[in-house]
Amino acid sequence: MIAPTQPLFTANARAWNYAGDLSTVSLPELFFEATQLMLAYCACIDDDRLEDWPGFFSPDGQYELITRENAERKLPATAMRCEGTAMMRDRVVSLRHANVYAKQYYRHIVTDVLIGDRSQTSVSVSSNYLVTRTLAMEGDPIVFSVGRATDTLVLTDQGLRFRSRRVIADNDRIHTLLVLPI
Amino acid sequence: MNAPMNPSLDKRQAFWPQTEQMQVPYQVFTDPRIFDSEQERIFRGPHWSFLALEAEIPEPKNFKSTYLGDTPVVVTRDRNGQICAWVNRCAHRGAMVCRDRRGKADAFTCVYHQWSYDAQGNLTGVPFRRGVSGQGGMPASFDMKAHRLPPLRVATYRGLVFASFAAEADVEPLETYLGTEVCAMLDRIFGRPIELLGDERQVMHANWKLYSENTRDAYHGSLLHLFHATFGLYRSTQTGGCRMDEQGRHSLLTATKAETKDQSATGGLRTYQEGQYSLEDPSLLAGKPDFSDGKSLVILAIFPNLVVHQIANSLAVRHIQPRSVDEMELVWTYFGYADDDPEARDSRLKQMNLVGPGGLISMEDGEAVELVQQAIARDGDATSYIAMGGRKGEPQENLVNEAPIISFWEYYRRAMRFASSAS
Repeated sequence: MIAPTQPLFTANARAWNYAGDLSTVSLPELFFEATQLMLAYCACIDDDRLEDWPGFFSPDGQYELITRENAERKLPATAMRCEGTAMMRDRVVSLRHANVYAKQYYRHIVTDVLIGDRSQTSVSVSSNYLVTRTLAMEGDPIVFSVGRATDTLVLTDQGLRFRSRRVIADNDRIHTLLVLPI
Repeated sequence: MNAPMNPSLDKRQAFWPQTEQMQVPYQVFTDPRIFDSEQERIFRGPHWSFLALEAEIPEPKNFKSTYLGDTPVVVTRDRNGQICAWVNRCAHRGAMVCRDRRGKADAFTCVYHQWSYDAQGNLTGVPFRRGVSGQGGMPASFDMKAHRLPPLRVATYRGLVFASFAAEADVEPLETYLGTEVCAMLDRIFGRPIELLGDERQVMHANWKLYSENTRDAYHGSLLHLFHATFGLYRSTQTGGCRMDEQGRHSLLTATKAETKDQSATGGLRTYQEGQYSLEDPSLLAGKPDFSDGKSLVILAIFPNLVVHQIANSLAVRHIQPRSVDEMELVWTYFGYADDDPEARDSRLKQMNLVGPGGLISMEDGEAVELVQQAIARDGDATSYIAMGGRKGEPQENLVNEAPIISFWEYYRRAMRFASSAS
């Protein structure tokens, strides 16, 4: 199990730590590392290791979950928005200690990872996702959210991290409530 | 029209007990026949239902499709800017005419046979009306004016668009319907031009009246929603109150931020284990007040289908759309003020984390109403027991009462013409 408190990509950590220039990394290698980050991020949420979630972001990282309906109208209202990892940690503390909700599981399916523009320090990556939610008491999964994420990854001394993650959900209806990030 | 609603319901002795406290038979949340009657007696009855903010249709030819009760309707501005509303169902064979959620158009054409209508809902075109080469076509007696999209009565107050199916003589003028206290609160919140921030849509697998109760329920606030208490922020002893209109159908809950804390009243409930945690990023709550009256919380529930909220700097209208006896959609439309500076705008957007289906303050409501719906599947004669703060739905200067819920049910029972067992 990969915990983000350790370097994510042990095999390549040294190369990633020292290269420092994303524009020189080969595309297959970048694709592999970006995909690894996505999958580790999703596993963290699916495995209910929420305390590790903010660690996937750089300290100034931005997280946003918005509906396609609002995004296409260029309206800013979000279902979830965290500016910086402190806000993410606050959300996790609230979910653990303040909020009341039925025990539930997400399962992320991530596909169509596409490496976009990159500079020496950052790379744009987009991906499709599908998230099922299963309430432990009911047992049946529902397709809870499906859409596309557009992310900006940066190289930190721990490997790639999200500087921004903008999740755009095709489904603009949220059933019952929204607890966990996507 | 004064007959009891459904003989098979009304003859049940236990149907609506006339007791000291309010006891609501669970059947009203589960019986499809009652849901059908509500569409007639409430949503198509002598009431004004919210449809849109004028800001959603700011220009001539703008339209928005939505629902009044479970009826699909479209609210438009015609080319002169006049607001109109009509049932979204073609006069020919009943197909849905407008298939976009919103947009700009001054003609609406049914895709099935291309009957077309103007923004007011008048029939303007019928293809092959005269037939082809003398063959086919509509009868010569066909009168275009007699076949239009069913119109709704429309009225606006402070930029909120309401509509009614009722004839003019059967429904009060909108301002009278809302009452002075509701109008005063709308004056306060909508006293400056607004700017839309966007929508959130929440499906609740529960009867719409369970949400109506929830938004008239000051009692649950500090017990179900523990965000403030957990982070050592103000809560239960804030001063507040509940107001209802003369008919008892609308409800206004307000709270004013207070610095004092009184833990003795709460007997060590989990709510009051305060200050265990603190926000690492307090900017979430750092917005400057929008109003000088100190009110930090306003939940204004307007019968039958609207809630207006101010929660710190978060402002929104919530449009209740009943879909079936056990499902509703709640559309949250967030707004700020057109003259917001970047700092104020930022506060409103950050505070979206507090409200809505994923809100740290409010996420529990969707689940709470579903918990009731799930548990009342059987035993329609069984009732709730609503008595906090006394039997009568009278205004209260506290937030530990259920007066607005009691008065909601008193009104509902009258509007539905439900007989009670003691009458």
